[in-house]
Amino acid sequence: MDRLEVMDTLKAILTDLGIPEESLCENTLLFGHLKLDSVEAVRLSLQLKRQLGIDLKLGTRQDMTLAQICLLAETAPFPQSS
Amino acid sequence: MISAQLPSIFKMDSISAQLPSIFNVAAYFLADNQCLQRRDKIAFYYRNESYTYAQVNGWVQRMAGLLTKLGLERENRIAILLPDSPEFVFAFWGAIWLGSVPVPINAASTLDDIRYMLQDCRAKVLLTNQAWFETLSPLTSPFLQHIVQVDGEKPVMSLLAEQDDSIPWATTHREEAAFWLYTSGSTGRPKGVIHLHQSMVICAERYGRETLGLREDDILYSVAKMPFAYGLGNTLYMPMAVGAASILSDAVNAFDIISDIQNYQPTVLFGIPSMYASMLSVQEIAPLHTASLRLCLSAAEQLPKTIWFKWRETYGIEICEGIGTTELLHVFLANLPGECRPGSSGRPVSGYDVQVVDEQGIPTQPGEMGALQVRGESLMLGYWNRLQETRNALLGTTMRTGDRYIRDEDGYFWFMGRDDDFFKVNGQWISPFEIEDVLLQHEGVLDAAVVPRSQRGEDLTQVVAYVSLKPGFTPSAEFEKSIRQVAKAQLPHFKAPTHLYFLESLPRTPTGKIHRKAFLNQH
Repeated sequence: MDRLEVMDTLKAILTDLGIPEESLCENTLLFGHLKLDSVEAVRLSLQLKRQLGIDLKLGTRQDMTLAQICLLAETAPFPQSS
Repeated sequence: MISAQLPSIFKMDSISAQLPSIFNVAAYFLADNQCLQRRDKIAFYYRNESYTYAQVNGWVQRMAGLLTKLGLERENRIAILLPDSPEFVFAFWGAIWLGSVPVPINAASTLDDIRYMLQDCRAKVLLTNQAWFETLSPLTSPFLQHIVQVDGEKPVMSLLAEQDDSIPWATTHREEAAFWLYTSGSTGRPKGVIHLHQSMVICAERYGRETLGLREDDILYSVAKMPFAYGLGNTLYMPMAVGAASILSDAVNAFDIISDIQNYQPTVLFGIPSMYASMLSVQEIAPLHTASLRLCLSAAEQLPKTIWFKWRETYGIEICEGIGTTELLHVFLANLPGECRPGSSGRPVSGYDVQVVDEQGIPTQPGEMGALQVRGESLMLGYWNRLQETRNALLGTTMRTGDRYIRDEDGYFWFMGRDDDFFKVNGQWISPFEIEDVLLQHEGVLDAAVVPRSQRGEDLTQVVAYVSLKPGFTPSAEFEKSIRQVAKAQLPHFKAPTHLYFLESLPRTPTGKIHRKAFLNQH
């Protein structure tokens, strides 16, 4: 999966959580900008594992941009499953 | 020293009667921990810092000095709008030390409710941070005279450093108002619940010491924050009552909590059902290290059996569930370690008379459903400026909780539901009307009904919405997404519906009201 596909997958997960697509760009922060709540953080983490094969501990003290998540997905050592 | 007047161990009967009439609960908890064995013991952990009991004592008195200089007088209120932090602790005890009344404000409330609470409590001083100050500006309460910030140009800790750390405590009465907590309540605006100087001692002794066996070498961690009655006891006064340590945490989600437990190695975890469920669901991504834990507790809402069993299967520890209310300050029904009945709220905590009664107020037979009512010494004085609601809730020294319960032959209590349409999610009351109002703001929604869904205690309670659409609109995934966006934009996350169903029309009673019970067995 290339960078564009990873970003599309990530955006699709976030819009399924009820987040408007227009608020999503590479530099968007999960907590600083999107204000993900506790339930959404867990759901996003589970979907990232299922769809992109990455284990991400989405604690609020280490906020991440969408671009950073994409980079992790691209460099993940595990085969990505859909 | 105030402790010289008090018994070190309370007798099983009235605790209140064993307290002197002149009694200041801040001085009680602080003075008791200034003996040589405890004064250098850690009372609170916060990020990379820790505070000994001696340091806390000093900072609290400095805070009392600062508040005096700001003109805060006995019985005046100070609102505290902060995450759990040392400044919160110092302000809470510092205000009580002075005989004034701290009012913690739950930062997870809606902005509208926060503004309401600040007005309603008539706080003369607000302690907050810069972010909240900017969010709330301009603050227009005619009672508010000072806003003190914990950060920014003049942080409160720098002001405290300039104060005297030896201020005499106010000679308050044990039955005098000591602090307020706002309850989300089941109707309308939050209600200010007034508690007395004696209340925290009663809960700390009855639940913390006698029921849980908390001890000096414990480190306590609470998922619920201090503006909640459950969190206040867990983090603040129950550990202090036994000289234990407690963790002040700004954790927001399961990953933060898992990280905190790994870092601080608590021995006692006070959780809530939704957070136990979240920690279990991410165990492959973020494993929880439970080696330090000797007790896991849960309250605030019904703990589903599935979570109880999965937690024990995964970590080998029982979750001791209990139930309490803001009005009674802390837990009054509890399961004990080794005696848990999953799905039940447990048995009465010592000192509380808990009964299930019929419509005439007569105790029901075991197995018969009735209304839950509780009598205990930690009962509130009343709701601030809500006489009718106080009268409705209290019957002499007894509180009607509004819950339906069954007591079994062995004395365990089983939650059956509420008297009204309101329900709890994440430990907070949900008003279906508030959510329906938001859904109805969507241009395509004609009618909406919101109900709870939990499968007989097997799962966490979820918010389910049923909607019918206006002519010209048809159900679709896109349409559902747009409704979810409206809900998300206007509601706290725990109130946003997790399930949404489209119906041609919604069932209504003969009087035109939504027939909510018709939905309860669907899906």
